[in-house]
Formats: sequence, C-alpha cells, structure tokens
Amino acid sequence: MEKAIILRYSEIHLKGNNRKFFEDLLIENIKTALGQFSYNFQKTYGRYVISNYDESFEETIIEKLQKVFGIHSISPCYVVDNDLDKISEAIFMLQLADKTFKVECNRADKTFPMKSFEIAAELGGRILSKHHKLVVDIHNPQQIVHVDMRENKKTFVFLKNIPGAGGLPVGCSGKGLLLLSGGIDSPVSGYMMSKRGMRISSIHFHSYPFTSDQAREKVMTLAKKLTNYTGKMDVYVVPFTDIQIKIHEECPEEFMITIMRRFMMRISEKIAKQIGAGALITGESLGQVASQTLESINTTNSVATLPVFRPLIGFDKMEIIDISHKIETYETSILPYEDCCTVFLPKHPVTKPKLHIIERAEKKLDIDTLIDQAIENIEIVKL
Amino acid sequence: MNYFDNCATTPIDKNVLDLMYQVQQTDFFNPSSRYRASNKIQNKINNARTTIANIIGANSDEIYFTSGGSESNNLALFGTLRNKKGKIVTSKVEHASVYYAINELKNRGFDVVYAPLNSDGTVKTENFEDLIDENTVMVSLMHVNNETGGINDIKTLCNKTKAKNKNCLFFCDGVQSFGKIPLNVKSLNIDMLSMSAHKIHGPKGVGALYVSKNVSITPIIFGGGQENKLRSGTENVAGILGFELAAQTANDVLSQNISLFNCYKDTFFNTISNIVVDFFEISTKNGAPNIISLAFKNIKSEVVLHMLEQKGYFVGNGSACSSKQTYSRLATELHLKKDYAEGIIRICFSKYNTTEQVESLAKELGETINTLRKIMGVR
Repeated sequence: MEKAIILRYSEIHLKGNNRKFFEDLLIENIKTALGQFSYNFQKTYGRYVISNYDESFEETIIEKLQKVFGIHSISPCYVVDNDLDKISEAIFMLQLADKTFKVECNRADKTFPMKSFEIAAELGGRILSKHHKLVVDIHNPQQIVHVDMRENKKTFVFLKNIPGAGGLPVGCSGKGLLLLSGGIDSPVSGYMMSKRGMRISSIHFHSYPFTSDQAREKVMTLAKKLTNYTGKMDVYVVPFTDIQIKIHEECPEEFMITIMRRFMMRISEKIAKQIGAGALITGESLGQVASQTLESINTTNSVATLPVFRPLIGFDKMEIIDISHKIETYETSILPYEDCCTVFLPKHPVTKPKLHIIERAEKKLDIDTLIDQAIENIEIVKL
Repeated sequence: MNYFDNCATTPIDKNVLDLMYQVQQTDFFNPSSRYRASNKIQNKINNARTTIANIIGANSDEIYFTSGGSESNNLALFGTLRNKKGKIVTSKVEHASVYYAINELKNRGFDVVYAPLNSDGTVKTENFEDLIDENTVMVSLMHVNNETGGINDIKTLCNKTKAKNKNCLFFCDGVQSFGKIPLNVKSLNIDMLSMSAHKIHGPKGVGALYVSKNVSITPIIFGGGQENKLRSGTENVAGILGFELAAQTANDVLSQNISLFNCYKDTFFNTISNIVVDFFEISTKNGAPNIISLAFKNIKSEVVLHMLEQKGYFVGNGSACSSKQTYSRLATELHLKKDYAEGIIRICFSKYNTTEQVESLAKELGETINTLRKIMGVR
C-alpha cells in the first residue's frame, strides 16, 4: 500500500500577499533537510505531500522534518483510491490502540456519493466489527482515525499528527549573528531566533593557547547540531587572546569581563555589518551571572548600534536546559573545556558597572587597532 | 619537532615500520589457515613470543599477545577474578585501564583496598603486609607510575603479599617499565605483567600479557581460540612482529638509554633552575630515568602545553589517557597544594631526543612559565 507524509505549515497562512515568499522558503528548507533522500514532493492546497520515498527511511525523514521551522504538523499516512473497501483496508494497517476512537472524515471529493458523517459512521462500524475492544467516543476520543478524501480520487488515511517545529521558515526574518560560546545558553538562543525565521551565522571568541582546541571543537559540534534547525551556517572564529591579555594588563581586574564583552560586541557588530546581518543574538538571561545584570547588559549594549536579540532574557536556567536537551546540545555544552570567559575570571567581577567608569578604564587601550588585528585573523568555518 | 611526551606514546622506529609494511604485504595469510605459508607465520609469531619471554625472563608459553596495554590489564583482572570473591589491593594512581577495571570489580562485589602512597606516587612498602589477609585475591600495582616516574618496589611488595597469603595473585602493570628499566618476572616473583608496544617505538594496537604457568586464567574475548585459547581474534601479525623488533631494540639499548636519560635529567635541571622559581619535582632520583614530573605554582599546565606546542615542543600534562578529566587523580592523591595542583608538567625522554633538545626545552619551558605568570599577574 502506498505511503506518504502530509506536512501542514504553521503561520504562513497569515501572511497574505507575502505568502508565496514564505512558501518558497519553506519548500527550499524542506528540500535542503531531505537532501540525501529521493522522494516526490507535491504542493496541494494548505499542505505538502511527500511520497514515493524508501519506506525504511520514513522515521528518519520525519525526524528531519520535525526540525524544519514553519512546519506545524506531520502525518505519515496511507494513500488509497476513494473506495470504502480500500479505505478500511488502510485503516486496518494503522496501529490502533485499544482505546476510545472516532473517525473524522473530510470529503473534498464532492462526487463521492456519501456525505462525510455517513462515511465516518460506516468506517467506524467496520472498525468496531474487527476490533472488539475499541469503543467509539465522538466527543472526547483518545485517538482519531483521519480519512481525507481528495478531489484527485485519492484518500489519505492516518492516525498520527506529529507536532512539527512550528515557527517561521528560516530565512524569512533576515539574518542574525549569534555570539556562540561553549555554554548551554547561546545554542538555545540561536535555536529560538532561528525558529522565528532568522538565518544564523555564529561568531566565537577563541583564546588559544589559554583554552584548548577541544574547546573550539566543542563549539563547532554545537554549531553543527544547530544546523539541523538553522540550515547551513558560517562560524567566525575570532582570535581573542591578545585582547584579553591587553585588558588584563591595562584595566582593573574587576572590569575584566565587562570590558571583554564590550570588545566582543564591537567585533560582532563589525562582522555582522560585513556579512549583512541585521541583529546580534546573545544567550543572556537577566541576572544569571554578574555580566548579565541590567547594569552589565546596559554597559555592553552601549557599544552596539544594531539591535541585540536576547531571546532567553526572561528564561530560568532550568527552562533553558530543557530546550537544550530538546535540541540535543546539552551533552556537548557541559563538556568541561574552558572557554574564553573563564580564563581571566576575576575573583570579584563588578556586578553593577557604571558606563562612564568603564569607558574611562578602557581609555588606556588602543581599541580600534586591537579590533582590527583580531578581525584580520578571523577564521571562517562553513558548516 | 621536539617530542617529549614519550610516556603517552613514542614515534615508531623506521625499521619496525619497514618490517610491518613488508609483513602486511607478504605475510598477509591468516595464521590459522591450513597453508604452509600460514604455518610459517604462526612460527614467526611464536618466535616473537619467545623474544618477549626472554626479555622478561619468562617462558614463551607464558606470553599472550593482545591489542595493547589496556586489554592486557583488563584480561589480567577479569580473566583471573571470574567466579572469585574477596579483596583487591591496589592504588589510586594506577593507569585508568586498571583503576576503572577495578572500579567495575568493586561494583560486582569485590572489596577494594587502596594502598597508602609516598610523595612520588609509589606505594609505601612499610606495613604493606597489613593490607593483605586471607581474603585478598589480587594485588594490582603498576611498576613505573606513568605520571611521576616513581618505581614501585614490586619485589618487596610481592614478597610481602605472598608471605601473608600465598594464593593471592600479584599483577603488575608493566606498560611504563617494559623496555625502559631492567625487568625480570621471576626475580620480581609476580604472576602477571602487562606490556605495550607503542611505548617503546613499536606500533599502536598491540601488547602482551605475561601469565605465570601457575595462574589459572580464562578468556574475556571468545572466538576462534587463538593465543592458546586465551585471546581469540585473528592475530595482528604485523603488529606482533613489529612489537618483537621494537622490544628487542629497546632491550639492546636499555642500559645505554638509562645513562643517557640520567644525563638529560641533569642537563634539564641545571638549565631550568636558573630560569624559573616556585616549582618542585614530583619525580625522584630513584624514579624512572626517562620521566621528569614537575609541579609549578600558579600555573595551568594545559596552557603551558599549548604555548610550548606553538614553539614546537611537546610535553605532557598528566596521563594522556585521562587528560579530559577536569581534575587529576594524581594531584588529589599526592595531596598537592591547591596552587600547584593544576601545574603538573611531565617530560618523558626517548632515544630520539638530544642533549641540545633537552637544554632548549628546559629554556623554553622556564621562559614560558615566566611569561605566563607575568600575563596572569601571578608569582
């Protein structure tokens, strides 16, 4: 019996005149996600149908589709002719559990001689005569057998509505530059913005020899995992050691982190502008650490002119961890390699920095030269 | 390249590599096949067995080839302790492949006793016998500590064990001593000894286990019954023959290397002492001649390792097999002061090092430490 996968999209129907743009992007992203498989792709009203694929890969295909933003739900189904015998045959192939059920019929093929509720009643009866333990409950069923009779004389029969990733197709909301450390938060942040349709590039600050190449590899692994959701991604690896040493030499110890982060913002903004990104993205969550108090965020934010998106700002750590488990970055994030922020960690970092004091402390540094040197030696990794 | 991490692994000798290349090409037959050619290969393997046996004073039928040190260690422990109960005496600074194997045995119900240590990581011989009783089934101790170079007095420890409980097995992890210091299993009186090829300029993926004829041991890998039914799996012919050649070479130049490495140690300390302060030696004069272990104050050894690599010098920081851990078992067990615990650097010589290299290493290391302390604003 022929199988197919029905995809329904989420918010695109709201997009009025721009609908085609959104749809084209979503289709392109679906095709990228399924690049390795062969299949037929069909656009029908309000949904897409994937058919003619190797059924042994069905689970993998669905897993891939679950990571494509813009898809609302996914249903693997049987495809049969508009014929009650064939439809019931397909229903008996479904993994019906011994629970309450109802049949829901959608009859787009108006030439079919029975009405929707009549079809549902007839099929429900056939199910009951075969599965004696099943009970009909039309108001609050534990499972729904969907029968979708299309104009093209084909019927889709399915049980499951697997939730998709939701959100908007990646690419429809412009491009953002994600400040990616090796921690738990920043990958989640990238995921969140990607979910709202943003195409992501990442920037990472590397402190070799103070941190190891494993720390860098860890970031690449995280970025690679993110690409399941974001699609292709460029990672800009910035050599940051010289700047850190200079700050450490010239500035008061307690301002180390604040000034360091101001440098990160400045460099990120320069790169963002070079690559046409319209926003910076960080994993900051209000009050999580000294550098994420309102005062600290103000001080680091003040060197940026682009909007800085902080999708985790109101999230608790546990909520962030939950998402990082879901997107499978958690296990990598907790690997114990030092990142650039912990190398020169002061004993008592300032928690409420004052902008004018920080600016005065920075005066000793040749900021532009330091930034230019770092940018000159950037390494770009294409994932 | 200035490679000084020879306890992690060594570069393979060219004649070993050439031999292995040739063996892979011509002696590719399965040694268990019924061809004459296979039989010849079987004979070559048995000759290799005899060579290894002769070097450590064993009989050739007491040598079993394995895939390396970790497998040998696991075979020695799991192969003899199956169906047994009781107590295992070991130390907390054993190589990971012994330490975690014994942890597993602990989970399976064995009592494990960790012997007290000296400051160089060796086991205290005084009162060692008090740790042994009639329930002790195994003593497992390394010969040379891979991180400190400390040499355990295996003969004394083994004799004390046997005097207290003659049925107790004594297993010695010899991976860092085989081919590095004189070693005779009969005079040490031990029951089992593990060896590895890649620590002595042989290939990776091959090692051996000496098992005294008096020991009853059963396989942990089942199959075609190779290696006198103890270790199934088609023999790694090229590896075994490469191991033989490397072991023979190491044995031939053993005493020469010992005096050479002792000179290197002098050169190293004479140079570095003039450059850097606030460090001490964990290794000792009585330790393995090829290993220097140092602890530097207020230094993260991994940063030193990276900085030296940028200058073309390779040193170790703790055991390579477990360096992904956040803390060092050694630093904890030797009760190093907190400001020294992260600053352990290990230097291991090989015959490919030269006096000039050692001198420049000492200079570069000293200067790197000074630079790093200056950058970090510490003393």
